[in-house]
Amino acid sequence: MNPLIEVQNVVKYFPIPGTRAVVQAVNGVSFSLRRGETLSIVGESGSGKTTVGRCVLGLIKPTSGRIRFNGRDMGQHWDVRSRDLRGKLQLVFQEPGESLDPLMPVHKSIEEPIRATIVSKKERDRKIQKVTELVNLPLSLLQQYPAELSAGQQQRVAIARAIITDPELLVLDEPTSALSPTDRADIIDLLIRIQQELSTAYLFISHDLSTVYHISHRIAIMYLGKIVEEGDSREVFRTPHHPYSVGLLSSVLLPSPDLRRETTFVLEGETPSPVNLPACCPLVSRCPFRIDRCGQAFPEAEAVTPAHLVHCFRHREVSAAEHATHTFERFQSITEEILSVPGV
Amino acid sequence: MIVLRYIGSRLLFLVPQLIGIVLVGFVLIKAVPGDPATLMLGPMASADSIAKLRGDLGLDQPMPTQFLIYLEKLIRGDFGTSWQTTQPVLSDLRTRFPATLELVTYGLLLALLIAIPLGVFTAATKRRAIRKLGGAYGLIAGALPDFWLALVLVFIFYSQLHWLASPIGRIDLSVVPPDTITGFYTIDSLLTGNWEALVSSVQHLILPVITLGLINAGPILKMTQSTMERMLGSDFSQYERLCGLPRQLIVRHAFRNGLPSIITIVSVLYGFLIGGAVLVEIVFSWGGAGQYAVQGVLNSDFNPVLGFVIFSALFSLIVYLIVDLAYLAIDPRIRH
Amino acid sequence: MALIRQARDEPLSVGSKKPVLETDNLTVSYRPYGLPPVEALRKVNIKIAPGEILGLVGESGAGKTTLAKAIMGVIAKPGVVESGRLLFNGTNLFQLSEEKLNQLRGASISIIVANPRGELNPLLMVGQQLANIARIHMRVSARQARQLALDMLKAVKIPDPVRRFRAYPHELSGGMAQRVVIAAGLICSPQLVISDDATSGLDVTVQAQILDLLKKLARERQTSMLYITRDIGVAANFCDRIAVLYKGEIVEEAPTGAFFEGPSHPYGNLLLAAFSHNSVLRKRWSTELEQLQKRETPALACLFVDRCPLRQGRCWQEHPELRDLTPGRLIRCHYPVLRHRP
Repeated sequence: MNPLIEVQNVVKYFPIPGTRAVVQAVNGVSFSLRRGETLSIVGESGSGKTTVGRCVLGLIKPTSGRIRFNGRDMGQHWDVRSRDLRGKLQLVFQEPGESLDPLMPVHKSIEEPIRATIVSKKERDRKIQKVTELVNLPLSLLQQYPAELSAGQQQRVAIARAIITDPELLVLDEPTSALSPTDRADIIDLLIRIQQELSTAYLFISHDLSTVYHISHRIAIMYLGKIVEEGDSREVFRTPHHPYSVGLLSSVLLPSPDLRRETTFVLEGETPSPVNLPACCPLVSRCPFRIDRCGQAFPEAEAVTPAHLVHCFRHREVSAAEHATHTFERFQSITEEILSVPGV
Repeated sequence: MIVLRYIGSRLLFLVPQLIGIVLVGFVLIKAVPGDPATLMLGPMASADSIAKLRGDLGLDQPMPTQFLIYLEKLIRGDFGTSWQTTQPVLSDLRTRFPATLELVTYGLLLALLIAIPLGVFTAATKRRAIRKLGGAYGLIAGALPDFWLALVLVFIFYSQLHWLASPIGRIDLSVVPPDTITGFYTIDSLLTGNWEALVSSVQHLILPVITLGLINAGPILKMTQSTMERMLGSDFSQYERLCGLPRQLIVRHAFRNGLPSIITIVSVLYGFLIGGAVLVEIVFSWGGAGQYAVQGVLNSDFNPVLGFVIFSALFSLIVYLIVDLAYLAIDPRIRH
Repeated sequence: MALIRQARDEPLSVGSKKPVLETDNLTVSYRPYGLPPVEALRKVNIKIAPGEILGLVGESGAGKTTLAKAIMGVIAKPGVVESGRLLFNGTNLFQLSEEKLNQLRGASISIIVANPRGELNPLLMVGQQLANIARIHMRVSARQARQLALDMLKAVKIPDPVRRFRAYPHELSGGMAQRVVIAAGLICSPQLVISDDATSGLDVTVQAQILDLLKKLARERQTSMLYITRDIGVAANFCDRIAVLYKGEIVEEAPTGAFFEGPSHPYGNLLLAAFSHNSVLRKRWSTELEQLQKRETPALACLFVDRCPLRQGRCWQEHPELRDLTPGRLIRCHYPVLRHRP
């Protein structure tokens, strides 16, 4: 079956005013997303993940590369506002308070996407009610203004607004980073449930690996504008093959003091700025596994398994050096044991 | 160096800016009703002689031609002649412009001396009463007309108390003005060792400078106070307090951060006062450029007005350039 | 990034040494003009021993920053310290003059803030800002102060420290600015360092480096730390003891190991469940709550009662006090969760 979205070799450079240099935000990214699937794009600041999200929505035109939707190459007409795509792609932002118009009661915000496309007011109200129930908000809240709602409720409103057009793809850009831990878990559960009911595909952009672990089917790890590893989410978490993935995963601090992931190597320093990048592996300045070859070309994708690709010349040594410690899984079982107290 | 290149490009841009200003000034002054030929010849003149004078003065030509003629003369350094003084405008302005500049510069300096310490103090103090006092000063200074204050001061200190000089100009009638080097009587008399002129010119400067200083301290005070309050409430001031830095140092840093705003208003005032001090100039018979220009407007004497516009525009533009350079020096964020 | 496995630190015996910091029934409220007062901190008791890292965990609005401000003595209107004592090495800070407090700030008690680029003075070089702090609090010349600042920049492993000394805050990345602020917090070798959510905005790999650095420096200098965070994951790996703040009250305090073997307060369990994203567990440890958590002046009930799965009649009528559950472990709950380890 055709993938819903196919991204082929997308590149995006932003010119720096006053100079001839460019910010190389995205440096050749390719991936695909199937219906009803969640692909998480993971990376730190400077990785380019937000830019990728904006390109997929057509809010930013790529410098080069192609994006296909449902098999059709949209070319220059790629824009979430164009008639073919309207309503099929939607976006949820990070700051719920800022994405809602503070001067409108929330039902008006939820109504906005269908105001121009559905003529009958009765039909619109029915849809508003349906999505409000889907996001578990009491209907009485619809008359209130965003400032009267908690952050978690505001984000639910934003999600309701995003799904009211029955989109095929939802791009979520750090949707839970600004929320408290309990709200965060609720929203993630909500998103999973909506996906099951509406078969919406998610492009989930985040740096929070715990939420990514829970919600993703597949994951792509980005560094300085390139995907360095991608594959089935559980598998990548369990046995990362790229030095950066190892560095990233071992930096995550889980609430269990016994779980410190044993690493045998270190990624020193910080991410360099995405300007004037050489055409080789972007990690070369920091990687403890580097060899001469790494400074000459960017490694092609190698398949660890058919569904798990990595871009590293020495990925076998990397995974051999790291014990498959199943950290996230162990955390789940430890927590389950702790929290299963009789009588609760 | 980037700075030199920046100055160069600004100076280059000065020329088209000035031409634009002259154009606007030209159009505006011609729009004022009044016919210089009629005024020059008096109420008894015949229509023929008026028409002939107008032809001589070139006033019967179409507007664009008049403008081009003016521009052409300007480039050669000829600002035309004032029919009131019968002197070339350029030589009139050569004495009058420095007169205003001297007065306004000292006045502004006094204003700064009053306003900035007061502004910093009222913002940094914990007591609300003092802060309100600062606001009150700004209000009163903004409400008082400058010429009224000038007259009051003259009345008290000259007429009643006889402490200070009479308001008849920049220097005593009996004293010879110093040789012109800068046009500033105070500086020139210092440079030429002319003590008599120095004393006299200072005496005559006291009252008008106090007037301008007191009045213009108002807006500067308000700006300083509000800027300081903003800086002291900012994150970095809070952080400096958390690091245990003494209050004095925090206030000093806050002031430095607030300088750009304060410099901005001072520069605007400076440019404004070149013409804006005219009422004070009139009260003290100063013989300044503002008076000169006003007389020109009232009597449809175009050349002095345009000459004044050019001088003061040039002055303002240079002040703004200096101010922008000051910003560069103060704020490292701008350099990028 | 190396979270290199190290021997588990020896648990510190709190009772033996005099605490560096101790709050005694500290109550702070906000009295906004024309509105009813809101209690931000209520009878908070915490103790930090010399060389110990105490983690203060809570959600936004729980009162964590208020506590940091109270310790630094910068609570300002509409905030009011209503009652209680704040003892630093035995001295009640509330009885000190502003001048004496200012001498302590930065020198004996310092704070590492979040959003460092917004908090540093934009017009001064960062090295100079560090030197200023050293100059003010220690009897050193300007040149010695600059040397101390440079040494500190090296200690926090800022790349290219000599050049970075002359950098301005806006020229630094978030991670580097954070290192500068840490340097500022440690340059006078204070006895207590407060970290107010200092690493939450950073990339996760940078955060790991910074935390390793902080811990190393704290241990080297025997500095105590109050580490305020919303992230219990960080607290688990960084702190010696955990204190949980809920709606202005300490509801649990325990050594880290013991806490994560099983929190005693239902709220701690709820947090753990939330971090695990396990919906079954989360449902078990919460009740349906879909109303705004309004902060009201407390009546007699436990503040957690509207969310607690273990609540019973007594919880609505009697406000639980903070008491010893086991030696070294405090709990504020009528029905704490007791686990029997085999």
